Amino acid sequence: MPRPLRASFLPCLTALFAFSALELAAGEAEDLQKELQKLKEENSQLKQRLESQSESIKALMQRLETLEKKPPSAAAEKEEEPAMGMDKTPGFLKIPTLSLRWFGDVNFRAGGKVRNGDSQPNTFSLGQLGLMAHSQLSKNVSVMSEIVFQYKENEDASTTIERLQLQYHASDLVNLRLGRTHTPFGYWNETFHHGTWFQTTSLRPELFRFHDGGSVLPIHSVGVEMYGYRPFGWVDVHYNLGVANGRGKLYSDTVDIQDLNDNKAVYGVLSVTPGAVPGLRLGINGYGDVIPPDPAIAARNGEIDELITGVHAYYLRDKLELLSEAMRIEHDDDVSSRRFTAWGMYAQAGYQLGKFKPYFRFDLLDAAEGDPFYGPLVVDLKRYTAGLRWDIISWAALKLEYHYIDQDNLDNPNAFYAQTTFTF
Amino acid sequence: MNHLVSILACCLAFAGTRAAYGMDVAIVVNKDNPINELSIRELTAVFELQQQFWKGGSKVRVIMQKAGCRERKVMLKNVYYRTDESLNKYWLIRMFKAEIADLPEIEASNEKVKQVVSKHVDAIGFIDASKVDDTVKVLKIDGLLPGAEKYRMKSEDDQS
Repeated sequence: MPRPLRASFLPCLTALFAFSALELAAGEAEDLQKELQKLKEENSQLKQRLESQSESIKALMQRLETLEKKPPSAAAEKEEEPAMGMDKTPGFLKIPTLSLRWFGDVNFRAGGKVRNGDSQPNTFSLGQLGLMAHSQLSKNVSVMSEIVFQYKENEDASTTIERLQLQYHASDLVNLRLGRTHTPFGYWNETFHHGTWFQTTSLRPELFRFHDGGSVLPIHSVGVEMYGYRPFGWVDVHYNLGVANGRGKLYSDTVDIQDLNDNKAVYGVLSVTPGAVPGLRLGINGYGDVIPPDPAIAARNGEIDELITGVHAYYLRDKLELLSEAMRIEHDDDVSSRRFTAWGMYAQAGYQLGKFKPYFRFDLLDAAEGDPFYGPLVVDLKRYTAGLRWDIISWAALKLEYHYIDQDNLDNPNAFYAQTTFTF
Repeated sequence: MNHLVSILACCLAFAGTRAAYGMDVAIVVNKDNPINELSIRELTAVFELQQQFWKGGSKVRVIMQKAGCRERKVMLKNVYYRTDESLNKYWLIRMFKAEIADLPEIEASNEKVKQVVSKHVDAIGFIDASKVDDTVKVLKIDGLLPGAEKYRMKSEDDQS
């Protein structure tokens, strides 16, 4: 390349490079500017969001401080939802909810029954159809009723208010019950009512037959009762104390409307659960009353002082059920000036194996001979029951039982019972 | 990278919690409930509604979980000593003896139990111990907290 050409080429090239570099730098600078602007905008947005969140946090902290200053009960009252059992429908009037439950059973019996000296044929029979209702009226007040529909021995239909009671739960130690109740003697009568689905066996113990079946005990009472429970370190103590109308003229009567004398029945139960043996309960009970006379019967022309005393023990834990009760009934008769003493007991054992529960019970009733108060249905007997309960579904069960009955006037001591029992 | 570290930290925390509590079931009450511990006998009395009032006089509100869940099975075995079926019958017997006014509430999950217990001073419930947080208070049972070797409310897998 000639020297003059070289001399002018280099500056041009340099200028070209410089110009290109400047162009490039300008382009990059513009990009950087744009990037910077974008970052500035994002930063500004973030700042705004941070400020907004700081204000929210500040407001929440203030709210928290206010709540912490309030006493717990006030906070709970403000948060309180409608009481359990109350209709949660919003509105001015909150109506208590009602729980209804039907209980029924259908039976088959072969043998084991005598009426007027004659053995009764094998038979299907309708058991009692019981309607239990329960409602919580307020946090501490509830009501329950039990109405039973049944056919009597003479095929007449009957409807009975078996229980109607109002409860007030003041504390674990003090509860009040007012109305028609199952007299608390120990375990069975207070726990099992007219729904056979609850109980393991098809029949009640002989000691606790219902009135129309020839009961020796005042199964129902109309009055007022206090009951409660108090735990101590090594034992839990349960009690019942009650005052009621007491007996009527007939041993099968419950006095619902008008007491026949000023003497009221007084009763009490005291039982303990040892802390060392959870599931075990041991107890004693007493019941005192003056039975009014029945002028229609010469032998009943005077009052009878009645004293019932008893003991009970049961163990319920896991799959095991062990029950036993014994009662002694003393009648001091004004007319004959004699004391008549009857007594009875039962002992029952059952064990749950899945849906099946084999069980056994021994019943004994020793009626006092010549007691003017009891009728012909109350007789001496021993009954041995061996059975199997099958809970087919949650709410229905089948019970199959063999009975050996040691009783006068019974041609055949062997009997077979089948019962389907259900609740819906 | 930060996300990965966060996830790893969460996994480690969860694994650590599970290792500490195993499959224990915690008994929880409201943080304002003054009670701090119960014996197993007292716990049974409360959950069976034998004891229906706290010492302060307010009514106990028992919160159960739905049938079939692991936590409920632990309670059935160690507190109620019953199956689901026999427990249902027990509640009906108590109700129709008029000894209880209503059945215990049932919630669908640990979180729901915590929500109810944290809102109601009188409530007591049971949850998976690993789900405990600062919204509820955990009770000692027989002097032990969940995670302790001899803590009673363990699932059967843990007890083997």
